[in-house]
Order: sequence, then structure tokens, then C-alpha cells
Amino acid sequence: MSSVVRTRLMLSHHTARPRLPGLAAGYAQRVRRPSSSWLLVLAAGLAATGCGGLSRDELERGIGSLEATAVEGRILALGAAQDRTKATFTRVHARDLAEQAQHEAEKLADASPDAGLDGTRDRAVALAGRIADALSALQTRPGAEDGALEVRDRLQQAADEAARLVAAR
Amino acid sequence: MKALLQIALGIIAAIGGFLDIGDLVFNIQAGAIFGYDLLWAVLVGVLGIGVYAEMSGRVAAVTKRPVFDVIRERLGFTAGLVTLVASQVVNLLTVTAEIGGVAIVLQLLFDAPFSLFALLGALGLIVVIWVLPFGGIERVFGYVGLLLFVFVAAALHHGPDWSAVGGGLVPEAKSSSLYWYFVIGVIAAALMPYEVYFYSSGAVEERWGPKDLRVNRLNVVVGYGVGAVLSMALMIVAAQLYEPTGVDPSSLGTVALAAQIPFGEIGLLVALLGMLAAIGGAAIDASLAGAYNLAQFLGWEWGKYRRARDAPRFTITWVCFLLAAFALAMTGVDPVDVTEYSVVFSVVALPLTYLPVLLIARDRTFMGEHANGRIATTLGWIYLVLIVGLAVTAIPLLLATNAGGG
Repeated sequence: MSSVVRTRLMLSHHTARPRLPGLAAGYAQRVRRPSSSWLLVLAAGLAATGCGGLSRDELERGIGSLEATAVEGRILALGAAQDRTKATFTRVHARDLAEQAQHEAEKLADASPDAGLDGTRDRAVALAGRIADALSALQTRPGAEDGALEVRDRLQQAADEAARLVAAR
Repeated sequence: MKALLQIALGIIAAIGGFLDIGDLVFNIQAGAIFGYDLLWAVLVGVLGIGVYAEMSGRVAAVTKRPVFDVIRERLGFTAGLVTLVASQVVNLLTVTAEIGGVAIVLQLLFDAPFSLFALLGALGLIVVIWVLPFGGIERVFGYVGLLLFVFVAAALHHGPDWSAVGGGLVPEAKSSSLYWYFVIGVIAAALMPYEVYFYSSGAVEERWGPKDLRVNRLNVVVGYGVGAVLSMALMIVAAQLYEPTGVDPSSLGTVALAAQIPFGEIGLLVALLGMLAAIGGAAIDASLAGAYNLAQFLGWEWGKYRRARDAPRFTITWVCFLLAAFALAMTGVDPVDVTEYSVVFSVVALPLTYLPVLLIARDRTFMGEHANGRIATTLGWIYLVLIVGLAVTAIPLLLATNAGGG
């Protein structure tokens, strides 16, 4: 099998399904946080008082962000498992992705979900924690190929679970 | 070979302008979200910057006057001052983002604290600008930036869907405000005003005259052509790798990953070095552009070809730009956010930058036989209307989409 085909198959593994609704907006939202200081103050205030509401769309976007982080982490782990990358790159990028997952977990945990969404929100927070843990393991041992394979599998499971969470809504 | 060396100015202006930190992430995001659909916006942007860079280079070669000199004369002091303030704010934001970008790429290569690499990046760029002549800066950053062709190789490696690529080159109207936010972002990123400030001042630095008009055209066609090809390659790679898998290209690490997936560690290193040169080149473009603008507006001695003691205020200005940018980068702002806001806000300064260039370039009393022909003037007016449209819609779209957040 050529490396091109192999790479394609690895990338397309478990990804032939349609993208999650709202995913595009979800990740754009994560990338571009409003920079206006008053917005940040307002958001911080709401989070601190537990007044931030969480609608179904926002929850789906949050889960979409988690799925995107898990998928990217899986690709990163695959490179480490195949010894096709640089350890410092894997460490730094895994740390960034772990922080993103952790940030998403905190955001979801701080918000007050609309009626009927508590269970999904709690599962999403737990999922975010597992994604962050897997990425932290990759960050700690970026040169361990066996460990990277295990991380890849954990992140694949996390991505699948994120897809199931949205589909179940 | 001589002609090849002479196009370095166009290449560094184009790579610095098209592929700074914001563009690298913005183009990858556009491909990840919209697949091939936004390729046409790159073409619209490159044609626009090509038209105006050619005009500004021609004006500089014929009249020996760079863009801000022309702005001051044509717009007068008050409007010129508004343009100066707007462009300097955008320049400072851009340098801030680039210093942050340099630090992030160094982190990905060597894993040490961001603050250390931001400091080293700022000091390193000061040393480079101080030590190297203008031509040396162009060549080092322009040609090392060509390592970004690894993304073209990556796109070809994965076999683009050529019919989709062709379809993406045809403009399409969609109802999504997020789509239009990205359209404006891609076009505005190509038209960033610091590119023409740097390019036209560079033409004066290199002492171009009317005999260099062919080199000017070559710079524009090849330099901006290269920038456009690289921008489109990033979008295509993202459409191939990230759009189907749902990956979120939110950082420079994700950009570099697109070269590692097909080519392994070598691809990753080539991509990171190319990104370092492109982002560092953009920091130099924008910091020198800031110093050029101020010096030309206030009538100071300016130019890299002068010794520092012969143009002290110019020298102090670009050093201050880099140090102020370092200080801003250390506040913890996200470099990608900063550059994307600067791209959107720069459209406000665009009409005031490009109108005087168009007016001078078509004026036969200034330009003589080298004044615009009918095609250049027509394209200039068409793009000016487009630029005004961008300026009017950019801020409302920024707010309506929560800066692309939907």
C-alpha cells in the first residue's frame, strides 16, 4: 500500500460521517474570542455568578469543538506513534490542544444548561477531561511510540463519543 | 539569474503580506470550513494588490516618491494624518501579532517559554534589520519563505480534486454571514496597506528609476503570484485534510501539521522554517513600513540605505515599533486574534491609502509617458469601489459574526 493511500485511510478512519451540525461555527468561535474588554468582563462576571446560560446550539458547538480537538490530537499521536514527527512539536502542540479541551470543559461546567441538557452537559465535561488527559499523556512522553498508539485510540474513542452525544440530541 | 535576484522585493512583500501569522491560520481555516469555495477570493485579492503594488512601484520609480509622500501631498495634512494614525495602529497590531507568531514557531521547534522566544524574536529582528542591508533582508526572508512551497507539494501529494478547485475559482454568493466574513478577510489580507508602503519605499531604497519598470512588473507578477499560489495551496491542503475530518485549524501548530502528515519530520521542519521566515519577514515589512510612513509624513531623513546616524529618527521609530510590539505581545493577547482584527480594521485605512496612489499614477503631469493606461486606471477604479465596499461592510460583519464565531 502506498504511503499516500495509507495516510488517506488513516485520516479517513471513522470520519466518513457528515460533519457535526454547527461545527464550523463552533470552532470559529473557539478560535476567535471576542477581544473587546467589556465582553470579557461581562463573560467573566456571568461565569463567576453561574448566570451563563447554555442553549442546545451552544452545547452542540462545544461538543463539536471537543470532537475537533480529539481528531487533531489523534492525528498528532499517529505521527508520534509512527516516529514521523519531532518530539518538541508533539509536546508543545499536545499541550495547546490539552489546554483547549480543558478550557472547553471549564466553559461548559461553568454554564447553566437549559432544561433537559444537564446530562449531556455533564457527559461533555467528562469527555473534555478524558481528551485533556490523553493529550497530557502525549505531552509527557512525546517520543514513546507505544504510548502514542494508546493515546491515538483513546482520542478516537473520544471523537466517536462526541459524535454520538450530538447525534443523540 | 540577475532578474531572479531582482524579484526578491516582490517576493518578500508578497510572502510577508499574504502569509503572515493571520493569513496562515485564516487560509487554513477557510479551507477547513468551506473546502475549495473561497479560492476565488484569493484571486480577487491578488489582482487588487497587484494592480496597486505595480502603480505604487511605478510612481516610486518615476517620481522617486513613496506612497506616504504621495498621500500627504494629495490628501493634505488632516486627511493624511487620519491615514497615518489608522495605518500606524494597524502596523503596530501587525508587528505585535508577528512577534507572537515568531515566538510560537520557535516554541514548536525548541519548546521554551513564550516570553523568552518573544524577546529573542524581537531582539533578533532588530539585529537583522540593523546589520543586513535592505537587499540582504529581502533575499534572506523572501527566499527562505519559499520553503512554504512544501504546502504546494502537500496539496499535490494528496491529489487535489481539480474540478472542485476549478469550481472554487468561480465566485459564488452565499447567504451565510460567516462565508462573507471570510471573503472579506481573505481579500483584505491580500490588500493590507503595509505591503504597498513597504514595497514603494523599497523601490526608493533600491533606487529604481524608469529603466526598472520592467523589474517592477516582474516583481508584482512573480512575487504576488507566488503569494497567491501559496495561499491557495494552504486552502487546498485544509480542504483535503481538515474539512473531511473536522479538524479545527486554530493555531500555527495545526498549519505545520498539514506538512507533517504527508512528509513526516522533514516536511514539518521545512514548514516551520518557512513559516518562521514568512512571519519574521512580515514583522520586518510592517515595522519598517511604520517607520517609513512616519518619516515620509513628517519629512524626516529615512531609508535603510542611510547609516543609522544619518537617519536617527527613522531608525529609532522602527526599533520602537519592534519593542512596543514585544511589550504588547507580552500582555497575553492571542497573536492570531490580533492579526485577524488588524486585517479587518485595516480596510478602513485602505481607501485613503489607495486613492492617492491611483490619482498620481494616472496623472500625466507627474508620470509623463509612464502614467496609467486605460486598463490600469479602470482596474484601479473598480478595486477602489470594491475597497470602499469592504470598508463599509467589514466592521458590521465583524460584529454580526462575532468575529467569525457565528
